[in-house]
Amino acid sequence: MTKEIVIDPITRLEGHGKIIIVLNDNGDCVRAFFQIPELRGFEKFAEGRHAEDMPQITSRICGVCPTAHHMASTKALDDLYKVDPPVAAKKIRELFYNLFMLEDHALHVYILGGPDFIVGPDAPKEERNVVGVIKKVGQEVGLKVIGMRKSVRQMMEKIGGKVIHPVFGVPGGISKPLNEEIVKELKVLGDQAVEFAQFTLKVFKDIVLSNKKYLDLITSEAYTHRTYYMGLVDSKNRVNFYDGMIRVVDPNGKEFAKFDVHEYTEHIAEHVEPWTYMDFPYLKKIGWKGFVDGEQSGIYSVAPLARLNAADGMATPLAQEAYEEMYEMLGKPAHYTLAMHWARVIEMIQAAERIKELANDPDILDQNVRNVPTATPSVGIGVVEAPRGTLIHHYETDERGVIRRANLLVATQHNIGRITLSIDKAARSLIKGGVVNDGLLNMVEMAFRAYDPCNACGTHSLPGSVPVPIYIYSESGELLRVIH
Amino acid sequence: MPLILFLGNSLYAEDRIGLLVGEILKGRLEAEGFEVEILERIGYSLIDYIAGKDSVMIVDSIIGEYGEVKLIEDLKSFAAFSPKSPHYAGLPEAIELIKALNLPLPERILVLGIGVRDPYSIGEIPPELNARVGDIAEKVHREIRNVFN
Repeated sequence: MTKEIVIDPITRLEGHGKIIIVLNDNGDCVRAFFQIPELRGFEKFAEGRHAEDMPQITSRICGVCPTAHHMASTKALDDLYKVDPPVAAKKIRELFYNLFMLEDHALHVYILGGPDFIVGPDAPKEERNVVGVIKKVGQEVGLKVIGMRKSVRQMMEKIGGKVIHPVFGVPGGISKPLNEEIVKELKVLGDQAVEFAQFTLKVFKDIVLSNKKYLDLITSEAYTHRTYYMGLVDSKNRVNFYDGMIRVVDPNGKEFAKFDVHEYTEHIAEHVEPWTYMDFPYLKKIGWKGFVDGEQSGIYSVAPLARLNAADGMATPLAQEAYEEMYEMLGKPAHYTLAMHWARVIEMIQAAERIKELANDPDILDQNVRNVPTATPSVGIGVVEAPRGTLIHHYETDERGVIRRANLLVATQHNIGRITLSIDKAARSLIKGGVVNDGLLNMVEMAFRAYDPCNACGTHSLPGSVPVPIYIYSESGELLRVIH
Repeated sequence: MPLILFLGNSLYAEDRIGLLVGEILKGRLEAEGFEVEILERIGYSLIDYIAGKDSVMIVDSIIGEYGEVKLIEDLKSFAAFSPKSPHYAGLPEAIELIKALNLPLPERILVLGIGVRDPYSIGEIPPELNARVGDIAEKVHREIRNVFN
């Protein structure tokens, strides 16, 4: 009989989580856990600070996705001060945000997650990295990736100041308007971005989709969960990264809920487990039924595949074509965790196309980019789709705008229930007879790397290394091995 | 001209130490002929700064004791000291990437680690560490001069 191992919560000093694998006497995995810390420390830190400082402060939570926090925070301030930004400001914010989405997704596709497929999930550890990717796709492609990321980042600096910690969004608008010179450059960059995103889809098709072994892996039971999916959609239920309503579909793809972010607490509740500090969000109306998938379980997912599952389509034509192609092959909704990479590439295309559309929109040259707030603040809630999923910032302040309470619901928190399922299922499916080799461990890691988990920067993982320590226990609780 | 990169995260109580030291030393080092950048960036984005330079010194926190300043010449050994932070999650890989792309790689890349006990907690700098910032900056300055003179 399986003995439940209760693991003491990780300390703040350990900081960045671990995987725990429990083996029975035959050496088969009977249970696997994933532990990561949460952001409560940050929320406490926010108390007593001026809300208007939050876009700069929260952007420091994560060096990988600062723009997502910056934008969610800025939108929360719009709401806090009851001020609607001018059209130009909204469009420039969306443009800026799509630049970030393109750049961040490219980071994951080529550097963080892509090597699993481009180089191969069971390739030698020393080759399963970005250098291995370059060996496989060629130096010219590598230079193209680095060059595109650099161009995007330089443009973001021109529009918003620092890339990593932008000084861009302010309540009611943005800090400065665009000029014709920047817009001219943006138009060129928009064309390049679309070409780059389509090129990435071609790379993905040539290397991943044309390889039956990889396709079998993507659609294998080890990486499949039938859960609910959540994402922001526009008025036509198409994917939108910057704004919209939160839509949830059930495991059959049927709309389950659609709500404004102000109602998020009516739809999302949190479950606590004794072995981790992390709360497990679930759909309130379904309830917490444990670590199981299916229509009766409130576990849901965010992130690229969830966004596409939760929408009726993409907002731009080339992305829509790619979207239709994916679902024709996988069915909709797609429950395959590893299809997250494919969805990410499709989102790169939408981001690039939106950059091009907005760069050619004459409204972005309007010099009126801010409505100065005058209302007395009380509560502000903002939402964006971070690259890794729905990101909600919620502030409550006194009448001076000093924060009394803050709540940040980040993508990795939404996903943690499904990530736990993914690691457990992958480990049970792959680890048999006491064989725990590097290739198998990488395939377990792939289960969570697909989500690109991100919690206070801690869990971004580079293939080719074990990003979090793996603890292997016997059923009796004896620690057999720790792999760093 | 050697480039000195001071790294850290200003939201974190102790991980901000590289930034604080950088602020103290920036003017002095620039007057001595060094190029100085104070950044809150992660591994791969450092490529834009590192590629094409002759020599680079990276100053950031490592897990250790307050007041400790440690010169690390072998980047592969850096993981043993480094906090698990994306600041360095990609630095050795970033250098490998520069090599793989045949971009100009600096002849010397060194890390100057500043000891902190807890690089992960958000908050104000602990008074004990804050009281030593000036001394730490002097140690860092001496090390930089020793290395490059």
